Amino acid sequence: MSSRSDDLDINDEYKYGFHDPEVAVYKAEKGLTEEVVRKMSEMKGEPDWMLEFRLQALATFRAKPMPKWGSTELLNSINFDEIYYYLKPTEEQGQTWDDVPEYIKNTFEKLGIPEAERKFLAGVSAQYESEVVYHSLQKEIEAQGVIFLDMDAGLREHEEIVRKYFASVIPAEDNKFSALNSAVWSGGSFVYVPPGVEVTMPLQAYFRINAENMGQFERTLIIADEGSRVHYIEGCTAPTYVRDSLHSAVVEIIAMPGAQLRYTTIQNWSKNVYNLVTKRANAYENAVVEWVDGNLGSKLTMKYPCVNLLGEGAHGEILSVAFANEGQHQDAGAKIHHVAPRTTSRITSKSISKAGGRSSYRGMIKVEPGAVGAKVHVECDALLMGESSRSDTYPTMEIAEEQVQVEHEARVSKVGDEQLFYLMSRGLTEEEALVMVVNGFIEPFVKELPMEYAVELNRLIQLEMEGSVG
Amino acid sequence: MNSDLHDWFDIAAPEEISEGDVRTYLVGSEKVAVARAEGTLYAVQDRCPHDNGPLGEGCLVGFAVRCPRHGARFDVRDGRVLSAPALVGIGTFEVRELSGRVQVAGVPATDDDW
Amino acid sequence: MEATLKNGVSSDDVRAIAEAAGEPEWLATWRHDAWDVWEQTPLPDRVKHLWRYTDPEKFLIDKVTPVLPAAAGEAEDELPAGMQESPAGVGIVDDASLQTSWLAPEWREAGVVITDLATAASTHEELVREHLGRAVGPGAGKFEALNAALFPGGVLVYVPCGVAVQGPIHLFRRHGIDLSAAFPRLLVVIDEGAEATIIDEYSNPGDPRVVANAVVEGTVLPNGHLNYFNIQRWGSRTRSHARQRFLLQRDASASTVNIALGGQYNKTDIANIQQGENAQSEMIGVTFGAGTQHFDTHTEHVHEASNSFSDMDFKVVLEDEARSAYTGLIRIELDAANCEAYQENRNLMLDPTCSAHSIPELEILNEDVRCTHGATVGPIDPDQVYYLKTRGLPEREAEKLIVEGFFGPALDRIEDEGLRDRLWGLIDDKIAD
Repeated sequence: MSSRSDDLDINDEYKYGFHDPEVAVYKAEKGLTEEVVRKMSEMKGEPDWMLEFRLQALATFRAKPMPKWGSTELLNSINFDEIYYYLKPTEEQGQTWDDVPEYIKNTFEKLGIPEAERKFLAGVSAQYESEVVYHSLQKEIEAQGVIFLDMDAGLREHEEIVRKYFASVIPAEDNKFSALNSAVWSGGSFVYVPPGVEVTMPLQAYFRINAENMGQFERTLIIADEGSRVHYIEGCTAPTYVRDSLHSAVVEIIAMPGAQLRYTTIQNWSKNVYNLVTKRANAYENAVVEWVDGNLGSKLTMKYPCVNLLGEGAHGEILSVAFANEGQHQDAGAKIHHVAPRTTSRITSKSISKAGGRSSYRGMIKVEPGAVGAKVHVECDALLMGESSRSDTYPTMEIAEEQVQVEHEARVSKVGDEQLFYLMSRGLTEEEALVMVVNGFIEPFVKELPMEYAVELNRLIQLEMEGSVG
Repeated sequence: MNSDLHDWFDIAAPEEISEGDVRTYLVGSEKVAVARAEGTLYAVQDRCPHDNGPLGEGCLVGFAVRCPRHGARFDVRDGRVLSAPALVGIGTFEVRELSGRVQVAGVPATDDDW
Repeated sequence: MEATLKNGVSSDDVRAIAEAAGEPEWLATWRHDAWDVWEQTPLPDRVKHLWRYTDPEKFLIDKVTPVLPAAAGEAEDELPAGMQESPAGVGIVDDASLQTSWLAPEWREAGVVITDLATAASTHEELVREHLGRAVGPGAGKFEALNAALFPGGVLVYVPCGVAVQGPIHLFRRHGIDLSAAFPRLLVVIDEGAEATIIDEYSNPGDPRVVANAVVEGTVLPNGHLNYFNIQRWGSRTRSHARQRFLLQRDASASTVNIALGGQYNKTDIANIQQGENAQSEMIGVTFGAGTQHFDTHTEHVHEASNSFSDMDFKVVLEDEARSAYTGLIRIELDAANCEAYQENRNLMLDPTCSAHSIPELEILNEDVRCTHGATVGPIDPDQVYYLKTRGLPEREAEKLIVEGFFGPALDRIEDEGLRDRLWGLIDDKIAD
């Protein structure tokens, strides 16, 4: 019973609430102007078409109104003029871990990436203050022809392929925040997996916001060519600040026929961050795309991973966990578009609202005419703890084809008294019992994570659950 | 679209739709976006399949009509979808100029649809 | 002969309506205020999901004219002919007035009231002042304001304290004038500890072109119980906007059944609000769409008080090119502890050209809750058809049986055999078409 004593140290503080003094070689001015965009593009040495794209996106961003749904009060309180949109901390990229500047290595040491973990990684792209500082690729992957670079390098070295797919899944005009990202994107990952290649170890990336009011606008483009298999993991933390930080990322995935791709995220931004992300995948014939999405941090997260099932037999799956503690709003969800025949999808959403936090599920299942044989299953479970916590479920299903099977179910409840009573009668304190119940609740999600993440997640849940009694 | 099965609806004078222009008209019971691209008139469904935006209030770039809501683009010649975030194409309508008037072939409003 | 107003309604017409109905001044003023709200409220925003699937312009009255009320008929002594059940009371409303009303002597003596709102505004002034517009007032929406301004006559059903009415009170709303705007309005008040069953049936003889804008509202006071059946059988050239809302006070309960079969283009909003502790609500909806019918239905169960219960069961069957959009909300307010709320929406599509949208929503602000909802969309299960065919049923018969089975659980909850048989008749007719 007591295997918990090893990893779960109840007395650990929230170790991620630190920040380094600002060290930057060039610091852009505050605010978003055409000049900032031009300067950024020039410093990156980008081709003209990318500058054009950025400038058009800037115009779109200015023209589009804020969304009128979701946490509109919080959204409208974002002051775009107070944010730094680009920052470059060093002149060159390091080649090996030893070449990384000391203060940056410190940050990552504090994040607790254990020595052993590095062996698991095929390559690491580390983003610090909007620019990729260190990146390395292991020989096996290079030999397989896999490309794993930061997005800036991807554009430089593989312009043709980037140009073909960039913004093909998420155009700048899609929403206000994809427009913002399209104008000022910096960093993120570019991944290309050639046909038939299976990348056995997950590709990972870390990044964090550090400078006060630093915006984070990474852009990720992943192309899994026919029959390939790859798992990409994204996990991040941020220091705690009084003023608010904005994170507005765009992730585009193209899964060619027969490709299988999983994209795992554990987001744990500190509770002053606005996390507004657009993530979408196009899945072709018999391709499989899985979004495994964990939302734990931030003041406000708005994120609805999406899969467009464009080829016959494609499958989309979204497994998400949202934990909203005091003062947090996790507004997450899932979108699946069934366009081709015989496509399938599964959405599992688990959310927890505690101590006045608010967790919302917003989903869209759209089945177009002609998407014959579509099979859809959606399950939303919500756990409420504490007075004034809130849970919302807003699932939309628009079905325009008759020969389909669409099922949706949702449940909302608090932690059962009987459950608690039983656990406490086994010697656990009420708080320990609650932790156990919550961990059991999110188990379907946790068991899909690589082990080190599972451990980290359980640790984080424990920290979040502190003070839930009395 | 077989014009024998549909009525021709008189919708506008040709001068109303200039080169590069796209506008919305009611044809029978359906809203149709009519555009003039490289001199020729084309007619497509007005409702964008992505999120019901009005294509007739968007703009025309070459042969592509762009939805004002989220930028989805369609070829006015065959209704083919050209860009995200739309994923499916749109319907097209026959259009002609007869006796100095622009006409679009459409389904008449039914008695129920008064 | 009913008189219609000229085309193009203005506030003068509001005055004309109040006068024709012989209403007291306070009600005329109430109407005028409602007219102002109608004029000042913009059309609903189509981006918001409640109007995403339906065009509000379809319910404007530019092409149709409202009907001036006529004097309400005298209460009848004899039960009107042709009733299939033996009701406790009957009300027949035509375009202009409550033409016929009848109550069994037992219930008349007990103080049950079926009358038109204009009369009740004088004879039962306090009651009407307290409850008119309370559940659906002019502020509830643009079209609700229009009904408040222009309704001709209207109906009040009142059941006094402790009276448990046996047998249904059957209302017939018949709107047959071509190119008219119909504004049926019903106010129900079930007093403390009282019980009643109301059957509210809407139809258009002669299949005229009508824009119907109906409001059904009411309050069930503590320990009261209401069974309300709404049977919508509008003709094929009617567009209908309907708002139905009942307030349930402490220990009160309601069971509402909405059956929608007619109308070309329909937008319906049905709500039971648990205002008092222990309030209980059961809401059943059955929609059968064929041809090119359009049904857009919103249902709501809002729990404002603790220990309340709700169960929502909404079934849709579609064939040909019919379309349905269903948005259903369960909301548990901050102070409503220990509530239970359930919801189910099932959509059966019989042809490839139908479309069904389902948006079951939850907004839960109190942790002490047990709440589940489910929705399905799909065709007839081919395994079920196969099984029935192996039992000797031809395919068409098998499908009919399956569709009937879909409605069965909902219709079975109707206790009155006569009504239940008649409804099955209507549904079977539609399946056979």
